[in-house]
Amino acid sequence: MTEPRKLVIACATVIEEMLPLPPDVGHLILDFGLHTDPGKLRQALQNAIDASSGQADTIILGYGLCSQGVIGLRATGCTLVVPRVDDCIAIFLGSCSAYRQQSRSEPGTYYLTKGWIEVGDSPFAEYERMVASRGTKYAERIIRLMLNNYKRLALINTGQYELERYRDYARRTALRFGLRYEEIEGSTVLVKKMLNGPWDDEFIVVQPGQAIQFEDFFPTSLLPGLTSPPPRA
Amino acid sequence: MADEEIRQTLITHLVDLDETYVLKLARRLLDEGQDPLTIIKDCEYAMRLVGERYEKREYYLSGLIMAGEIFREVMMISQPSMEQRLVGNASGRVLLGTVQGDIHDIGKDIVELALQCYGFTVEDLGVDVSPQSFLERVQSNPPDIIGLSGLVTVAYESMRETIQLVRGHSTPGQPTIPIIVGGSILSEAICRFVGADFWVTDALEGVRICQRIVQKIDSP
Repeated sequence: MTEPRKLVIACATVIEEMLPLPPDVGHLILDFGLHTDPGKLRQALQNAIDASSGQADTIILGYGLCSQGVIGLRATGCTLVVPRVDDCIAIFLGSCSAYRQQSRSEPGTYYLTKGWIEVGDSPFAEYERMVASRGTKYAERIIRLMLNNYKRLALINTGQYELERYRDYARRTALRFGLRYEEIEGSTVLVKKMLNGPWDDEFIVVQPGQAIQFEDFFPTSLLPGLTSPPPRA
Repeated sequence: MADEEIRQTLITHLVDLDETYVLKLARRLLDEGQDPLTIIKDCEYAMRLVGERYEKREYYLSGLIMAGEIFREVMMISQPSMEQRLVGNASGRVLLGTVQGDIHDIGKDIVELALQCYGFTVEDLGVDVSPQSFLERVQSNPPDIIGLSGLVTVAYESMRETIQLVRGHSTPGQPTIPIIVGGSILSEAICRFVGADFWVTDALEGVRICQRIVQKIDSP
């Protein structure tokens, strides 16, 4: 019996944590900048899925809910698998619950990883662009607004790469913008499960022809202590 | 310049993030007795155009933030004129806060100012507000409307917990306090999930919903 063919379609930051992939798993990388526009992200993902359907039995999406950018996606000829997480930070931390724990204990945290630093799409990279285009005074004013209530800058160490270069950048950035620097342990557990399974409760598995729905990310059965929403007034 | 031309100028300069020009023009229009509501509505329209530029990646996040800042400043300077027009027309009380696990407040602060401009009394509980804190405030000083703000996905569950807690402690026989959830990535699906009555992604739409709710309360 032949192994099911797998293909990964992932955001540029997530693929950093997945490489190298097993030789039999293909991959497509989508632009990180798409995360600013969930509609465009959805369209780019759907186009990539449509173009790849014949090449795989299962397409694994290296995304989370991502501002609902994955809602509505469907593949006609293969199964879709997507981790049941809010966004890529949960993937880097190894689980949705690890992310929730971090968010609850210190919500004012800006997370960085190698991928986020390299693609340069952070308030800190934007600060440099603003200094160049509008001057320091303007840049300072905007960055203060952007970072209002943020207290911590956390570099996630997934153990996937040499951290020293990124550590230096993150430390300097934290100091420069008055944030507490912390390194938090990431995990490759979820990334490995994405590739190898088992695709259990931590994943949404969508059969060919079906669409990913918002409710798939928040099934009532997986919300401890919560009952069905009250009726609308 | 004709009125329409002036309005377009205000919109264009806000879209171009020309803070100095927009504030100068807004002050002049207010001094001339122009309706502050028209100025605010034009700014809202300009904000939508800025949002489109962000989506097209013509602006970075800083562009959105700066536009919001200019809008906030226009509302600040419009407030005295609005208050004069609203004398004797108390609108209602809104309890507002960013839910637990979320610290974003730019949108919430704009909503607060917008509500005040339209005569609402707003009690802002701040950011990362626990469901229990919302409940305590609802019980000690019941508002007409509750507004829950959130930007990140973690906020959805906090909104849901807050709504369940508040609804679970509502007084029998008393009308249920309407709850609005607000944030730039909210949707009908999220509104259903959290169990809110209304959802909004822009500030003035939130004000309009609050106005409709209060009108309904006032006219049994």
